[in-house]
Amino acid sequence: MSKMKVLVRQLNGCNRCAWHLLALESFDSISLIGHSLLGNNDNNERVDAVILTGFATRKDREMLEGFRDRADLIALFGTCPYTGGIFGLANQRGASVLPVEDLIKVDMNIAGCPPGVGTLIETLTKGTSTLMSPLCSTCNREFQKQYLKEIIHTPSWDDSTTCFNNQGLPCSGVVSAECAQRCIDFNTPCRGCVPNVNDSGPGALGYFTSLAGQMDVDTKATEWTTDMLGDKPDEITKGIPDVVGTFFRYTLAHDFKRAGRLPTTGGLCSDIMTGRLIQEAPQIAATIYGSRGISVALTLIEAYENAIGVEPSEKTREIRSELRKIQATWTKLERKPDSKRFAEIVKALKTFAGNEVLSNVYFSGFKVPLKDVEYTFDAYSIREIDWKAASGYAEDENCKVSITVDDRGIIREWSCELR
Amino acid sequence: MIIAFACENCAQGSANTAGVLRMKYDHRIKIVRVPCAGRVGPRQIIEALNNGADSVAIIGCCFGACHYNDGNLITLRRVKAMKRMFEELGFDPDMVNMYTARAAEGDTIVGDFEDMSAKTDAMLSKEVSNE
Amino acid sequence: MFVCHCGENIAGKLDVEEVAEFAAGLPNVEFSTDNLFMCSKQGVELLKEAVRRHKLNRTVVASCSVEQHWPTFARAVEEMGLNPHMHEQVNIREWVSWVTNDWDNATEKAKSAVAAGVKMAALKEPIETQKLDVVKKVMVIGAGVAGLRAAMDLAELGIPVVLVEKEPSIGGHMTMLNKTFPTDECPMCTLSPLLNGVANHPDIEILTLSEVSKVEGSVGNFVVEVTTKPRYVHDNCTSCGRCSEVCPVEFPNEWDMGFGMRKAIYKPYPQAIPSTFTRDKKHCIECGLCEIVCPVQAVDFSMKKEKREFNVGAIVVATGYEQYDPVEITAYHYDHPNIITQLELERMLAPTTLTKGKILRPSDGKVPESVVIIQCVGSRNDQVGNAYCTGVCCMYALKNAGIIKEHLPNTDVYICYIDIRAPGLYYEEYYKKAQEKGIIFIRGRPSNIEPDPYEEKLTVFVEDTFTGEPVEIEADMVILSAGMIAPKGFGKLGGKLGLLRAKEGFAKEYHIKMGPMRSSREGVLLAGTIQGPRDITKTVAHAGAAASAAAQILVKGFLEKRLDTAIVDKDLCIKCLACSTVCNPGAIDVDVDGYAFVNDTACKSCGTCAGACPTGAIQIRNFRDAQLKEEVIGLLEYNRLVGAAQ
Repeated sequence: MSKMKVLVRQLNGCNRCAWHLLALESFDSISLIGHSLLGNNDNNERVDAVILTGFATRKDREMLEGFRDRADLIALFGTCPYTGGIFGLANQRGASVLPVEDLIKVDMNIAGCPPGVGTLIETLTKGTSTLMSPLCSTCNREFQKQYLKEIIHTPSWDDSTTCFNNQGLPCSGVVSAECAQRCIDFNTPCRGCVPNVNDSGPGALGYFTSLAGQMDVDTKATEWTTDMLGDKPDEITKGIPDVVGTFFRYTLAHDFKRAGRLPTTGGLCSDIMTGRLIQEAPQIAATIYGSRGISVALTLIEAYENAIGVEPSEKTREIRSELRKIQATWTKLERKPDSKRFAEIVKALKTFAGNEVLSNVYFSGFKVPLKDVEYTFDAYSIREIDWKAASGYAEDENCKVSITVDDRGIIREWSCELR
Repeated sequence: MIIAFACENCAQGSANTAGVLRMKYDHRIKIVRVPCAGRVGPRQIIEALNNGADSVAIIGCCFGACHYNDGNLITLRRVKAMKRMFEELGFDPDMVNMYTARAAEGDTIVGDFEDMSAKTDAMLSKEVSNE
Repeated sequence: MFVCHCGENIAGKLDVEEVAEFAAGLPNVEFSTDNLFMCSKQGVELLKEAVRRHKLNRTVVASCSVEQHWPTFARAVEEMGLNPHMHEQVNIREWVSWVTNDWDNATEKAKSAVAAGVKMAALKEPIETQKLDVVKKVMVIGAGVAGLRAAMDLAELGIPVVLVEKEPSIGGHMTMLNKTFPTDECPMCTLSPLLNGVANHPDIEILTLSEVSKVEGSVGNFVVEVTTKPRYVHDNCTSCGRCSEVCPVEFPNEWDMGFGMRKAIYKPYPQAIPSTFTRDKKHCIECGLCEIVCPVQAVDFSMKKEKREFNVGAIVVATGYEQYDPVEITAYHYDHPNIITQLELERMLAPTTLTKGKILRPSDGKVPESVVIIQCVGSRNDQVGNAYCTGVCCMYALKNAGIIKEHLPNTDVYICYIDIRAPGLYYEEYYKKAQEKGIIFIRGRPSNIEPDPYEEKLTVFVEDTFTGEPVEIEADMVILSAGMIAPKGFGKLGGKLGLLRAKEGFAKEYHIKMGPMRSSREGVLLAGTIQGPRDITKTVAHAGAAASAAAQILVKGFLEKRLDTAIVDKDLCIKCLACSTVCNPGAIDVDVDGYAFVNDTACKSCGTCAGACPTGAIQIRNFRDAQLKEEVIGLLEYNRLVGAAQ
């Protein structure tokens, strides 16, 4: 059997998926014609497959049409090319992040943030996507049939058996397929990076707000003697201060086809970070800042901790410095990307942060016990946090972060200067 | 264009009554029949907007008098979150609204319709002035 | 595709021919025409003929509302061998021609409605009607006057009834009353024919000391588990009363509200039905004397709690009310012996109690010289959370004030009221008569009652709102007209029955005007005060209505159910059960594999489940996400194309 000629192209956004695809070099069945991280060695020859990572914009149309013409198969790797991914949130502020499918015909999607390379190989070999089981079917938490009594923004840290949605914490596991990151294993609700249905954002929103069917909602009488929905803040608006970032985190560009009208803050990443809930910020930062995500997430945590006067424990700091070591290794590796050494970075990340989007990393400590750490969990677990409006600053060798959070827990101002 | 999802009890009844009484309202309002306001979820609202509607309204029975007990009240929560979502996207929260009507009184739904068109006009003119 | 002129109703307001022509050009449209009156015989024949000639498999008529003529055309297509749901009705009269002034706008709006109708028609699915057998038996829960009336009415229609009562005897609150307004009749006299009739009816099975412990199934076929507490006396009891005579334990009788005494083995009152005695295990000292003296060996301490299952087609809930407990209003000092409620007064007035029917001050047995009746205790009172008016207290206060005045002409009787509510035939007249009896009416709600620390006297403080003057009334006795509230245990039973409750605690009716005897759940009917406070007259009427509504479901022997219900796609279902959580009729359960499963009989097709489903797995037939989407696109697309062209 002849080798499959494959070209890997990173479009826009973070390049983590592209890092994962370095591993394609080591598969016998694949001949890697070109890869964005390995420099441009593409000579426009005909290929069997083009694998795209990252989100698209209108500017990419011509290039994408070119790929379509010269490839038998177009495969999308990661959620960004599939739905616009997390970068779609920038559409809130007028960006035009697009799913690749809005521009050209696509043959297969391997969603995930990031997904596993194994799934890609399997899909390429079989020729069709494998049906994945719903995330809920792999979750140990249990759902009780009842309406919500409250909506919360942090899970109950010692409860590992009640469904997040039951607790009042939105979890998009209901619209997602099983994935490579499994945030749910780290006491972190799913935000739907592997959409299992075509309209996962509206689906998750309809689901959660239906469960909130007995929460207080503002209504008002009309002059023509009827009642209507009111505009005053109520338990719904207070409970879900960031509807877009909660339910449409990975699918806004796909689910809602109008560009948002909020003014841009001047940068793609700050457009995404602004408006998010502080509790959700570390994972978002770890995701969108790609190969610098570890550093930005930790610095942002420290900036808010400084602002509200939380002192993380000694051990927490130690583990964080381990994570910064991993960051340093990765930064060094950028000069000469290498799949084996990257695999080691991923492995280390899983040890100290749970997964690649740092689901276990949190303000004041860690969410669940780490596997290969010898101290007792008490030494680095989360302390009680008084979420309040605050402004803070922190920096490390990679970035300077300043952050302003309002009284609803929403990030109002964000700046992150990468060095 | 305004898409109005009307429940088969009070809202459609009220729209029929308004017709019988020859009350006039904005021709841009297009009624979609649904069994209950509870049938309408974010999917329907977003699809209408994605396909070119200027605004969407859901009209059900009076709060507390849903013919299926509380379908309209559950949708009320859905719509409130949608309003918040549009606000977060920099749109007018009036892009979606939820009203009630009484089947025997045509003027109740006409009141809803007039409010809808007024709000939609205000929204559209604001957009024009912004551009 | 047929566009109707409706004479001038449509054709006078928009261009019908243009709409029909436009429709002819739409995808899937085989034939399109317009007609003067589609609903006329000729119009229907035209439709049938077109179905035959063009082998149409779906039809769309753009004319009037679904309610008005969908059935006409659906029947026509059914006669042509199609499923009636293959017909789609587009309303261009009530929703277009009659409400739009401008000719062009109306025509355009009609076109977009037709475009949507055609899109929708292409996606419509056939709906079958299912015949479901029903169990011709009804369970009535609660054997007060409402439950008795409903049970009797049903049994007389030939429908067997299981009557469940949690107390040891049937009859409810009405048996406790001394007189009933507006005729001052003896309630036992009016009720006992019904009591005895029910007790002796061959089609009524009475279960006393029993409560519903589980409810499964749905309309036409419920399975109800009833738990019966042991009576410790077998049915062969001859009611001779020797057991009670020898019983050494004596304490206040609950049925007499403490104005009478009873033994640990007892009958609440002499005429109680069933006449079998009951052993009260809580107070019994197990001396065994009753067992020894019983001539027929009916007393049996070894009886156990029993559970039985009943298969019934409908359930009538007639669990009645509870008297509001005035202890909550601390300013009224209800714990004082000389402050009693109206229900307690009713018992005091009964000849069988301790006072032998005389009105005496409870603390010392003195004849009261001054009695104050306070209205609206626990009713019309936002502070205690009951904003509603109980509606009967004014009437019974007038009644009892009159009775006190008759017994004790020299005693001053005051009624402190907000306003006297006596609506209806003979009620206002009753009020007039009471006024003539010399009762003193003071308009004002007393702020507090001060018990005298040294004497038995009480002082009632009230502002007379006619004069604006504060008034202090010296009283020997105060009678509180405590309102009716929903029984405290009803939450649990309501939960088992899957009933929606109003925030006041009463069972929520299906529709306050058109279905006050129906509950939120099909097949469960409401009778009497469980739906809201009311007097005996209205309770009896309500119970009759509930019985008739229950019979309606059962007399035919089957239910016809249109299966336009919810349907689950197991490939998409993730077993999250959000649908089941929001399903009000309780129609969604889980199947053996954990997937959502819709009980077609119970499903009311409202679609709230579909809006809650995260994956779109549960859908309502003919109102599916995909169908609604096409309809919306149909409505919008036409205008978008026109807009783009301009």
